[in-house]
Amino acid sequence: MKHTVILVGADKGGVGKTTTCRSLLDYLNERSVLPRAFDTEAPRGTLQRFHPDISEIVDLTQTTGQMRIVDTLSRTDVKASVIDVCAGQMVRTLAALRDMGFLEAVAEKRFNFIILHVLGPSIASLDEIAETAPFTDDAHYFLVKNKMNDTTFFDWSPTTSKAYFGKVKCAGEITIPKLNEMAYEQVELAGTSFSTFVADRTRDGEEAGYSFVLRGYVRTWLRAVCAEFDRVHFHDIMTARSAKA
Amino acid sequence: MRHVLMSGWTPIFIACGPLAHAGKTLSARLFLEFCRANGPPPLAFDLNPHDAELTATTNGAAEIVNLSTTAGQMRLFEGMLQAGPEARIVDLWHGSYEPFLDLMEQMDFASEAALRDFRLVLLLHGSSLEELDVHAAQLRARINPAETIVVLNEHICEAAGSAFARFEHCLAIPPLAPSILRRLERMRLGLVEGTDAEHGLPSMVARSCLRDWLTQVFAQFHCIELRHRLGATTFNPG
Repeated sequence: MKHTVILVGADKGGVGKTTTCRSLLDYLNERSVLPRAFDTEAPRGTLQRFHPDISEIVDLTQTTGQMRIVDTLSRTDVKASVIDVCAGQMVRTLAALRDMGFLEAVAEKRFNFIILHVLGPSIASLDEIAETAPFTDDAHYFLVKNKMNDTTFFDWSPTTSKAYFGKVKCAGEITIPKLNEMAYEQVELAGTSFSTFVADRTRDGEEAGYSFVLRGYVRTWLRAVCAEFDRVHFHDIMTARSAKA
Repeated sequence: MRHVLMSGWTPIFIACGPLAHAGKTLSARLFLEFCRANGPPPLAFDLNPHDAELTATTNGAAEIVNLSTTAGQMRLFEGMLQAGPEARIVDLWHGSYEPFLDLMEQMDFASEAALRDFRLVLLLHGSSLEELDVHAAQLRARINPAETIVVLNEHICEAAGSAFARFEHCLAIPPLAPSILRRLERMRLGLVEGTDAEHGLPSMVARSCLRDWLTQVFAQFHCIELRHRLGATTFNPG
């Protein structure tokens, strides 16, 4: 199994990149793919708060940060690296990956490269699709519609929707369904992964006593998210030995 | 010699059905009074926030819960699973029937309840055999493990005699003169309270009718209780 680099990004903030990363990490664990994660929101690191054991904060604007990720791809035992790209850095990060030769290595099939482009409820966000296009030729490029904040993604306007989504060359669309607000906030407070919350455990593995109802909401939501990743054959792409799935 | 150990059981009775005026509140009220007469007062929930009849007829013994809010859902589902030997009784408003079943499924409530040694007893109400047939099958498919008891409330549906034998478990609530129920309501008396010679219904005839009626119903409740206790029996070869 080749190493898969999964870049989760958007140039707009607050569109749910970290939520997508968190659910993806749970999905990978569920499918027995041991992941590692990089939080590029230096120095704070939102993702690291929920997955402290497998994530580290790196500054992708610095060469040392880029080396920390790319130079360890062949060495590490884990087979998936999830990169939570902070707002405004997506195109810049893709350009950096091209310049350092990573995209070339992807073209040579030495690594799998998956891009999850998380969309927001604005035309500016949709315009990013065109901006990322030059970097996505050899990647599995997915558009992620995060419904957590009730965004319609212009479904009500077929002309707009077609203008942006009709032409894009992508492997598929992933929809992250809405999670009950109280449940979401409770996981925020708990500061654990979604699956740890569902299992009613604290970060230290102790029994937590979280609300049964809220855990139920998170369980159902997480199942739906995993089903979405399965629907687009995410795991198959990662485990494919040669040509693109 | 063999010892027979009859284990304790904590039931969660849910009076349910998709239609209004099917007798759910009366069943919940009967179970509430039965439990109160036989042990610690049960934890009861009235799921009709618009017209909380169970709460009104039991002097506030049932907590009013609005299932359309997350806070209400937490109050109900966590209240049902709260540790303690008291029976739990839910009067499920027909308007919340589908959302309630959806939530039960989403949360896998029945399995969690079984893990914590609760027995889920669904008291299904309806007005015709055909309708009860359909809904009983749906409940069995959706909520598991649970026992579904079909309620033949003779105030609502006519006694269909042997036709009800098609259901594995059923409960018959015979008719009681509406005047007695109205009198109880006016005097703000509980069903059991109404049989009391000193503080109950003034008419000896009415008290006697009420007592007979309660005896018939409670005898069936005892059977349900016994069936569950025996179901949990372990035989210990000595």
